[in-house]
Amino acid sequence: MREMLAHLFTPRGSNNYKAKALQLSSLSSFLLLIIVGQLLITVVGRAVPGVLGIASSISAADLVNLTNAKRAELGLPTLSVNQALANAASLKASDMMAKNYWSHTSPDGTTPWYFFGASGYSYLYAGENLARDFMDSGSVVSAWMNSPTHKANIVSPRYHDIGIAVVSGNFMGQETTLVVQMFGTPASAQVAQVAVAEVAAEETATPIASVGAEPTEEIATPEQVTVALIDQPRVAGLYDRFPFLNSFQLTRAMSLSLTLLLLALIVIDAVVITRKKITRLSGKSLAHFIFLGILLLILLFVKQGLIL
Amino acid sequence: MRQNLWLALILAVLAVVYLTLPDLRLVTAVVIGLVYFLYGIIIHLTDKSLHLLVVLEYLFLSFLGTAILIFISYRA
Repeated sequence: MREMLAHLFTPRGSNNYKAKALQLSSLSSFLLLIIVGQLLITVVGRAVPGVLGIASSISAADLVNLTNAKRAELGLPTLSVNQALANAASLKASDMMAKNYWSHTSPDGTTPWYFFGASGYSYLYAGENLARDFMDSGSVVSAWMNSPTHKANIVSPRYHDIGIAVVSGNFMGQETTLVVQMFGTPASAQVAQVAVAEVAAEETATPIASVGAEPTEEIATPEQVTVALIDQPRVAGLYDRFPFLNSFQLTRAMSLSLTLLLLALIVIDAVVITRKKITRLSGKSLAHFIFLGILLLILLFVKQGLIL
Repeated sequence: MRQNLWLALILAVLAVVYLTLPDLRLVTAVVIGLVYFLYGIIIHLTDKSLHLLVVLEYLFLSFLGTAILIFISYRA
């Protein structure tokens, strides 16, 4: 047993002075193992819905509060929660779940602006931020604020209203939480502004929509609207339990284990080779160490969650 | 030693890009593997120790690293 471990993990005569686990045959086996592992996760996720996924604590109310806090930091007026916008966000989230797509535009070409109309929100300005696979509300808003185009929507002075839908369900093979954040300024705001200011009405009447574009002009502050948020615990309905395997954490654990193993082997290999003054044909241990070290750092710092 | 510092610096910059720009993760994953593989080839070419086994060693390690980064991007 001891001999076998030494053969596997230390450079010696039996393995031609290179640990068996660092030889090409083992590296290709590790590569195959990673690929097969990922295939298994995908197959299990699709064959048994509800097994893979995340259980998040995201709430629409928290998202609104955090969004308004970011605006307040910049001296911008807070956004009013609008029932029609919340309905539009809910329609969009349900559409994404039903058609299984992750995009601002659906596979059949439906744009986000369709949902504004469908919920009866006639807009002068409109914007949409999307997020999925996050664990909590703070992470969602942080990710948006770190993206210039999403941040532009959050801190745009031209938006007056906000509507958010937080929908959980089986999406693309795993249980997850989708967040749709919609911003808008009603078309009536322009009319009100013109009437009050008696400005010659040469401003554009064409609604301006943004999925991360630059804001263009400011509009008068809108009236406060009754709070309307949508938190839908589960869309699928069939799977009322929480998922017990997080595919991201599983992949990260597998990858971290392999990377740490290889790093340890390379250090052992370098120490033994240097001490015994063995000359052999091989790659540079320090280069391998740097490469795997960077890989390890990425795996330690990478976070779950996508925004669009 | 100096070449190793360059490798560390370039890979560190790419790691920051990978972590901060999620839209570029797949491209960055491929670039990280490619940079490492090419570095290995160039270094061994300059000290005249390039051999098929060495090329394959760098190739397999870069494939492994790139595969891990691609899969973690896909799951993130």
